[in-house]
Amino acid sequence: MKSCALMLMWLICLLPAKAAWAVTTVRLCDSDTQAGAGPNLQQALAGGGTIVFACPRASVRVTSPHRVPPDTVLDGGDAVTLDGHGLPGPFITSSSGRVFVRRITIRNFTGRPPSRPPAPGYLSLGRLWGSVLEVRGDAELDHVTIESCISPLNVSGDLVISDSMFRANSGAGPDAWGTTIIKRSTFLANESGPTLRSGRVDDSAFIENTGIALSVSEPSGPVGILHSSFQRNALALQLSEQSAFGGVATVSVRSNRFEDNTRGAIASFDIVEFARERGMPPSMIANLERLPGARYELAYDRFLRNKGARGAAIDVDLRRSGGMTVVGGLFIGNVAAGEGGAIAVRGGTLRVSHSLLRSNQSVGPGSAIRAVAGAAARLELSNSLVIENVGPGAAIDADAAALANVTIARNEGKGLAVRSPSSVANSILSDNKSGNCSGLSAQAFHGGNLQFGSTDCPGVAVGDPFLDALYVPELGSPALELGDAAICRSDPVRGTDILFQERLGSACALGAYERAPLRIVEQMRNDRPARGPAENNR
Amino acid sequence: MTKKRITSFRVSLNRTSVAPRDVRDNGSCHSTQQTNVVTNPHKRLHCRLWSLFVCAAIWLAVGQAVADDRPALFPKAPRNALNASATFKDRADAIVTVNACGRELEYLNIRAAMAGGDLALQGERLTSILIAKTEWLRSGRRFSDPCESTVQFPKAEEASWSQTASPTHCAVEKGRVVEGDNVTVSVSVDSVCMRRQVNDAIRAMMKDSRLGSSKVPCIETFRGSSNGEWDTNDRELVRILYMARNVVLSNRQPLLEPETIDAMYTNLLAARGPLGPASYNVVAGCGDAGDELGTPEDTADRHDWGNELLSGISDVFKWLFEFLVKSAARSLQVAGATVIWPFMVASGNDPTALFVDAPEIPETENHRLQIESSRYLTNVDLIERLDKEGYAHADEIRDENKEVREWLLRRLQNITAHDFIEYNAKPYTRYSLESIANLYDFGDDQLKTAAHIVLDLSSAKFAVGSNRGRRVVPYRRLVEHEGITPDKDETHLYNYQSGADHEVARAIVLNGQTQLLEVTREVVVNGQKQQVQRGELRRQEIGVLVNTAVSSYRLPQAVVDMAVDRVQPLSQRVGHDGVEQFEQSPAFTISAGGMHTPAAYSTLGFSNSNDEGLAMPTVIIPTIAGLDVGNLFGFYGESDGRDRRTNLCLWKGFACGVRPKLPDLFAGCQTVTSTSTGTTVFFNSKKCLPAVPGPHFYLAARLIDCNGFPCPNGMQWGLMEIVEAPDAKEQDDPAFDLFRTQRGLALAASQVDITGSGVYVAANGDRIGYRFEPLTRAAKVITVNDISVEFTGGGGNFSAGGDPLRSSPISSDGKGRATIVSPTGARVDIDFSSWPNPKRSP
Repeated sequence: MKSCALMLMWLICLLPAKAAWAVTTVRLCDSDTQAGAGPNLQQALAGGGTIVFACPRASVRVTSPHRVPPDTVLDGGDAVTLDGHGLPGPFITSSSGRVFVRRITIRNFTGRPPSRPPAPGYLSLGRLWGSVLEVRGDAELDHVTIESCISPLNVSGDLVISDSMFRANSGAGPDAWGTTIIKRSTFLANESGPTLRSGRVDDSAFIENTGIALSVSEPSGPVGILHSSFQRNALALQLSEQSAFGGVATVSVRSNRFEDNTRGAIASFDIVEFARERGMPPSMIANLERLPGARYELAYDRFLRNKGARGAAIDVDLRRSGGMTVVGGLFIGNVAAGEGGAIAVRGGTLRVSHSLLRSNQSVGPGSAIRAVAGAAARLELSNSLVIENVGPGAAIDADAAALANVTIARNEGKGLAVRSPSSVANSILSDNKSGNCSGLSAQAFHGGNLQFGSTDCPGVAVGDPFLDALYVPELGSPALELGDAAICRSDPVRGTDILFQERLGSACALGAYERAPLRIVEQMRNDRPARGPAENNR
Repeated sequence: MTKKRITSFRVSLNRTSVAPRDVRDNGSCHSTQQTNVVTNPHKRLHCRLWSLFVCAAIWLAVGQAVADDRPALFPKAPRNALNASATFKDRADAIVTVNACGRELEYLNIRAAMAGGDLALQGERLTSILIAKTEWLRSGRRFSDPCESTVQFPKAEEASWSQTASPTHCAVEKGRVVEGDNVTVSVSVDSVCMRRQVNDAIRAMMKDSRLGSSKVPCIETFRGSSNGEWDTNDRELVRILYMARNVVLSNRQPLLEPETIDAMYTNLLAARGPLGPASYNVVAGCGDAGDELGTPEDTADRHDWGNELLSGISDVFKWLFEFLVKSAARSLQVAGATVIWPFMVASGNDPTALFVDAPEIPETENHRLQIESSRYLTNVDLIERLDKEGYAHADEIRDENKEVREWLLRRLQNITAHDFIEYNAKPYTRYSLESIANLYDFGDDQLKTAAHIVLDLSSAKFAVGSNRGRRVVPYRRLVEHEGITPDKDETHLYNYQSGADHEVARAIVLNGQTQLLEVTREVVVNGQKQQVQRGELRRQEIGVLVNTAVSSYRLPQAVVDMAVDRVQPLSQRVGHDGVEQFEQSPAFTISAGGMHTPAAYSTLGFSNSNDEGLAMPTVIIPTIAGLDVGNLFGFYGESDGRDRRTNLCLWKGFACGVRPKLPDLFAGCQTVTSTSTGTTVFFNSKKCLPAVPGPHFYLAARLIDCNGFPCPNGMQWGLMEIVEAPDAKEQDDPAFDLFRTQRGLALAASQVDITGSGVYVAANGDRIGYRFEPLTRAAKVITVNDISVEFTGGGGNFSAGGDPLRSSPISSDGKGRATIVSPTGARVDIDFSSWPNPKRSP
């Protein structure tokens, strides 16, 4: 019995001084090293576990960096601000496990330069230590505000940020090498936003960031950027053209709003070019060239009034990528100082469908879309409206293009200009001020097509499509009957129109619409319980 | 097994119809004891030929002997209610097997046609096969064994079968027998092949029409009518989706490949999102029931997107105003659109008021049930998929689906309280019931209970109004499927495909009352002749039975008792928008003709006459025989179709009406007595069908010429009484003699006065007062023993119950509360008076 008791005591001695689940309450609220009764923040962090504060509405001055054990939870209870007052970080360093930070504000931590310069032959991408968190494992931030810090987060593992705010930080944004999940968070007036390699940004806001609001860098897994808004940033979203070595990664960008960004909404980044510009050794460039391309899938995104040097909404080089599809894009009022008012693409294939490109503007060619870089650059556009774009060049300027059920109308320049074999099917080219077509032969036109105003689309029927204010062919318009039903049913039109109204009949309409969108308008008009006779519910 | 060359039966649904015989025209030919002697030689020849025809008719109708080497499709009919419930699985398995691997040539032909761009057969013909294959795979019990069956086809189609390049032609032929022009191939389909067949076929399907009714006019394009009906395919695909959900086969592969599910969402499952419209505005509706395709994420992300796109172009409401003004102007120029013009004018200065004022075309009940049941289930699956992948934007769909669910519950409550708008519709009952079966199988607890209640009531009504799975009932929609025109397949009482009463098909599976279809056949198996008892169900149409076979719905015992055991007389009246009235007894069921009802739907007072509710012939359905409506005793009324008038002249075994018809099937055993005041005919079924053990009956009929009243000159009216005859004898039957004497007197004594009223004293002593209404031409029983029993209907409520003198198995208060009680005491209690909270016990 006695030996058993000794054994038990020995085992207890082997246990860590403080179990990970222990709760430590910080009661000394002036600074992290404040002496007094009870643990200060420094002591609490050193012990790990869950750290809470008994500091009503306090600002705790942090005077030194801290290292925490795995699975430390720092919970400010929505009442505590930790202020570094310019202290070089990292505020918290963790070498393994997870770090949880909750309901707290952290401010004024500055970064420190790389611990050593890159070795000759290695590429430095300017990585900084995280001034707030430098975590070798995973980190999770929930209801956290980080402001006025330099390069606040660097996480080697996975990073979760939810219901948090990053404000007025400089340097690099939150950066994790694992999977990053960002939910319901706001990034406001930072120099840079977060960088993702895999993971998801959902329901978040990126506002007035002065650099790149969000980056996707050589994704190693699927990336989703969903239901977020990007407003008044410099560049809203930078997408890496390449995936990581694991294989082609898909970047899905869905239902976001890109508004009033000043250096474009979406731009691609080519690490090969970047390395070349930095004068990196050929062997390294050759290695980078072997990276597989990333694939971009954009759907139901709104691009409104963005500005940029070229392609104010989308400026991408797809030569090394796996291609880009845009479904349901709304491109309105984007202005490029150069070419491609809304979209500028170099190389690769860009597929755009069910999209509206209206009132975009460029100084160079392609007031709506510019797609160049030889025959390898291919634009496929279907079920879309290209209208009222402003610029001296054609609204669509492409080396090669395939258009099906597109309405190109009332643009200031030409409607469509191509330089390589292209195809146009079931489309309307109407009333484009400088002409409807350029560079197209009669063989390029398939199915039914209609031109009006200029008659420079060879072999295309001439007639007024009677487009109304929504660019729907009015009743009686020849455009309602001239479509080739087989083209309407097959790819890329796939039996739908711009609003996904079906094209199922033995005949179909030319252009973007199959018919007037009365059901949608009726819903908009009513926005109340359905009218009509009572149901047969006696 | 004893070989019966003569008494073995061939009864198939692929048969020749037997025309109902108008007794007035031909009655004098058949009696061996007739008092009128046929002296005209031409007429004698005519009578001989007629006799031959009658014999042939009986041979076909009762089911007679031929050799047939096709293997049995269906188990023998159960002999009692307990056995009927216990053998459900046998029937279901037989149906699943034949459809899963016995229709391989059909599968290949459909797939080949689809590959060639012909999508006409990608509907229920294909999906019934796919559902059976899915059931085979998911059942697991046979997964390690291949599905084996036979495929039969004419020799001319041999090339189609041998065309190995056909899509997914992976069934293995195990043997082939060629006999004459027919080929029978034994096939084996293993699970790998079957999974491929299901997945490949779904991925080959393409949506080629819209949800909802076809031919809905609109002025949007002036292009004419829309091509609808996709909701039927959608409903079937939803069943497949749910049957295969989370099913992983023993080789660890999911039954449906992810690519197949993607294809279903992207290309096929169009019913989703918000509740669809109850009706279509002729200006803006255009039959648009809210079709939507795309991934679950697309559905989540398209909310408000369309609005934003349009708003990004122009002022939408200004556009709408201009659009309608121009449409008004244009409508003057376009033929066929002028119907809209009055509404344009009426809308005055605000053309957008057209949305309010323009006529609405109601969507039909069956379409709405198909659309909304599929929409609900697709939304549920879609939300689950979004949740599973952490796609946190399904809230709007969730909200929308609450509305869809509420509509479904309210609709099912409404059916419980009032019956279907399209009561007993042919063929739309199939669409409605299969939609409800989907909710029963895959809905949440409340929807499952609600669906259970409606299926129970529908089944119970069928059980009490049918006899061995056959019924002839009043129905609404479509008039063209009345099913009494002799040259149409639809006269067959087991018709379960074209223009069919779908409860007939369901009953075949659920209680298996196919005795009258059973035959004994000589079958050659491996060169050996064998006798096989079997039920013949037409293979080409057996797909209609699949959904009932794979559903988890089973009849409550109270219903099975009434449908199978038939131990006691029952009486049932059902009121809804129309009326139904039945008398059931072991040897017969009598179904009153009911009443005509207006079309189910109308626009501006205009309706389609094909949508009206028909009064049908009042028929007496003998338990022991009769495969065609022409085999039944009946009163056909003054006119056919929508002009047939009310007939509720029914009390126990007594019925009266205009244009009586006696079936040729029993002509060989009838005794005819003609006098100047009319003709009296007696039947002893034992004499007609001595080999059939029973239950037998005696029937007496009095046929009287009309002199302008109660029916037009040249017609007849009549009275019939049928009674049980458990001790009937083929010869020397004193009970029958007594019956003849007494009923002859009673029938002769019954005369109608100038008001159209008459009294008949029935065999049991009841004094039945009946009347032919002078104005409405309705035939009714008014009193029994001087107590009023007149049935005036339910006034739109499902007021199931008995007459004032008797209780009935189904009772309903027309507000959602009902009970089903069988003579054995088995019961179901229903309380669906509160739509969110349907209750059913046990």
